[in-house]
Amino acid sequence: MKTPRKAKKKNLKQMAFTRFMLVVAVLVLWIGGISVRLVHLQVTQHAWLKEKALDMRQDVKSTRMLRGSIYDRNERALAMSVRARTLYADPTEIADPEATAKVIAKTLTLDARQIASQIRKGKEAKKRYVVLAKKVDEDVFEKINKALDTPDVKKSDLPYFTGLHWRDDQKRSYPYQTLAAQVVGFSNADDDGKAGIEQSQDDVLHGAVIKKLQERDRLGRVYDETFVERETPSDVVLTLDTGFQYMTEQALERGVRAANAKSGMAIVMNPKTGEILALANYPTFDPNTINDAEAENIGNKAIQAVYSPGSVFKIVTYGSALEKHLFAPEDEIDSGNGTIEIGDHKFQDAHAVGRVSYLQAMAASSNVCAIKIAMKVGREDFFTTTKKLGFGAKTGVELPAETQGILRSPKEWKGDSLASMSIGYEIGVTALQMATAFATIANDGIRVQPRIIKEIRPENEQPKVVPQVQQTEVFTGDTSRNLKAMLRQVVLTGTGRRAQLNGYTSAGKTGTAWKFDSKSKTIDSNKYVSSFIGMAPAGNPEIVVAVVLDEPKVAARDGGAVAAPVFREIAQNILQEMKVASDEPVKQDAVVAKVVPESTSKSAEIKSLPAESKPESGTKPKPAESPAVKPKPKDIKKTNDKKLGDTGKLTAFLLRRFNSHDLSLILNTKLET
Amino acid sequence: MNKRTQTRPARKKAAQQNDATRWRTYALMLGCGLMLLTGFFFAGRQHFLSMDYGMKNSRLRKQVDDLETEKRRLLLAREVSLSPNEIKKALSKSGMIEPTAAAVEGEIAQVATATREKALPKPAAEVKPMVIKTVSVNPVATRVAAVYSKPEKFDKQGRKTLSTE
Repeated sequence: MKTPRKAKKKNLKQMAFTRFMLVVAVLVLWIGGISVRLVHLQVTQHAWLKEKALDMRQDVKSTRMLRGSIYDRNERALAMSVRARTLYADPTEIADPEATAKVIAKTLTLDARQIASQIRKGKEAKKRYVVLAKKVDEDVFEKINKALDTPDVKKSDLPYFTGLHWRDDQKRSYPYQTLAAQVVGFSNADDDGKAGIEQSQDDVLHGAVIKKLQERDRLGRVYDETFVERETPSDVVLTLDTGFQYMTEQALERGVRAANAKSGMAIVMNPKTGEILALANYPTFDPNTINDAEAENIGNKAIQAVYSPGSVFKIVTYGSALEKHLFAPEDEIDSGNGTIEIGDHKFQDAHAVGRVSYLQAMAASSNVCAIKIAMKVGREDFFTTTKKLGFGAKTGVELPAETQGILRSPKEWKGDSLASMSIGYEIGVTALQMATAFATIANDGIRVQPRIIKEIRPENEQPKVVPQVQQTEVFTGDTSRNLKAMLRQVVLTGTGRRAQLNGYTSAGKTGTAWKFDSKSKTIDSNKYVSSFIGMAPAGNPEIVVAVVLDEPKVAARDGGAVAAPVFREIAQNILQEMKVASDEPVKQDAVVAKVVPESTSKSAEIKSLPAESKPESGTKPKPAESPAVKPKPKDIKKTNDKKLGDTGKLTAFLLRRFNSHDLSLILNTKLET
Repeated sequence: MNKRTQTRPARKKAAQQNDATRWRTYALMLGCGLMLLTGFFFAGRQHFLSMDYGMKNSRLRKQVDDLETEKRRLLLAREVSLSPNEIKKALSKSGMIEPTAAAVEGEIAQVATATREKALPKPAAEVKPMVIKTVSVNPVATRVAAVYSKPEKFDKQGRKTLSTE
């Protein structure tokens, strides 16, 4: 029989077991519930929760890299981008558009009603980006942040104002303003190139978009960043020289103004390498204020405008004849009474020259002689030489919208077309094509493709030098030498006397052609295109300079009167800057001789003027002044003006010689930025 | 019958052995627990340190960007100061002589004037256009035989006589 003690013990054990099982059950249920919840979250809702977590933590920030810079050959920046910021509003975050608009309008001095309307419309359309201030500089950025700072607002990014944010942007600047504006071009608000190098090299200059994956904490602070895409833009180095460009532009501007011309173009080229050292158009524009620029000034007329070259084209006529050994420069040709009839048309010389050597015929720019030569050359050979010199085709320069000019095939020529073309009509050329043709002669008959890009420099990589391409032999060495001699004669005794330089020999050709009126489809004898294209020094040319003036309205309007002086100024300055050795005795400048300061002493004498150079045929030599003669007051005034020097020359000199630190010491002034 | 099989000292010894084992177990548990805690502590420290370094890194990167921006801005300012327009302004401010463009244009204008004088329109009969050519056909002017004046002759007394030729 069980004792009561044992029964009690058994009951206790059972009770303990039951309670234990109860606790276990509760625990199992509890843990089970948690487990089910865990499985539900981790498995079923895994994707949604992960996305939400990433969304809260991560932020994708897209920034565009700064657009590549454009430099000249001396590393002067012609176009450069700097970081800027754009202020925008997120209307979905703004509770009270009117109140916000008031504050913004007060800070940015804008119309409050307009801003309120923009924000309201954005809110209705659920827009998240309404631009308020575009591309502001650093100082304006600081000013706006300070003005909009609201202490109550807790935000991770500036400004501390609800609903407003900054976006990284960039602003394109052209430090040299109008200098080489048509070559450099400009880019629009979206940083897309729209003209010039900005357009033609847009792929190279364009900054790729970088995607930055940023990890943020709950306060919005970034603690991890990953770059997803990165493609660096490259810088472009041009063959232009800023100093030469400035000199060329100044000379061209003066020439256009003096001739009261509609516009002008000037090109300076290295004939051996094809590098374009300067390319100027006038009038010009400032790419920094493109909205104020006139549309007709934006285009690069040197490669886009087609004109009849006139007598300058006679180099093709004479060149093709020399290649065929039809004559030697010393041989004679009879121009008769200065008229010739070809087909239904009569061609005349300005002044009949009679029987002259070919040298003199070129110097006098005789149309009759040129036509007679062309008739001997024949259509096919003339056309072949024209094509070989690059006419009727693009030069291939790295600028956009270049035109190929107008050159019809011989099949389309009429009876008098050869005669017309031999004197530069019935053909359309660009200034660059003409400059390249003269560069061919200067380079001993080898045509080199003109180029304006020296190298392309990707970031952190080796620069890519643009390889020289397309060298074509057009003339033999003998032909080139003979042509140079003939062009030299033009400058010595012919129509290009005003292109003579001091200390250097020069050679070139004038051109004066009536313009073709596209409206009436006829030649307008009241409008001219006057040009002078030359090379210097004549024996071994270092530069070729082409100057073309459109519709000069002064005096005889011929190339010798209006374009040759511009050539002289450009060539003289650039050759001196290049430190090219003189190949002619330097004539002591009459101005220099008179720059002796006036002395109160009676014994002071003003030195005599040097004897004039040998007079050209047909002109009366000026008598030399006797040593004791004092200059007239009028001359002294002129001397003083010239003594002062040209601001343009001084500026260009300073540009090339000194850096900004030294300049500020010289000028004893802080240069404003 | 006596169920006690073990003597008192044996039981004491067994009890002591049980205690030692227990204490060892407790010590082991404590050690493991401490190691776990230390691990958690270091892991936590690493985590927050990495967050901290990440934020500093991000701030430094932003500083570098800002400095690069400032450097670029200064480069641009330097280039602007070297532009011809700014140099001209500095020259005029510093009092350097600035000749007027008219002085140079005057020279060209003088050339133009001299040329203009030469190119003054001649009487209608003497005007000769350089090229008579247009796309639209104009009738060719009829030829006029040139009339040349006979050369003047002088007798021994210097008087003019007309040639009879």
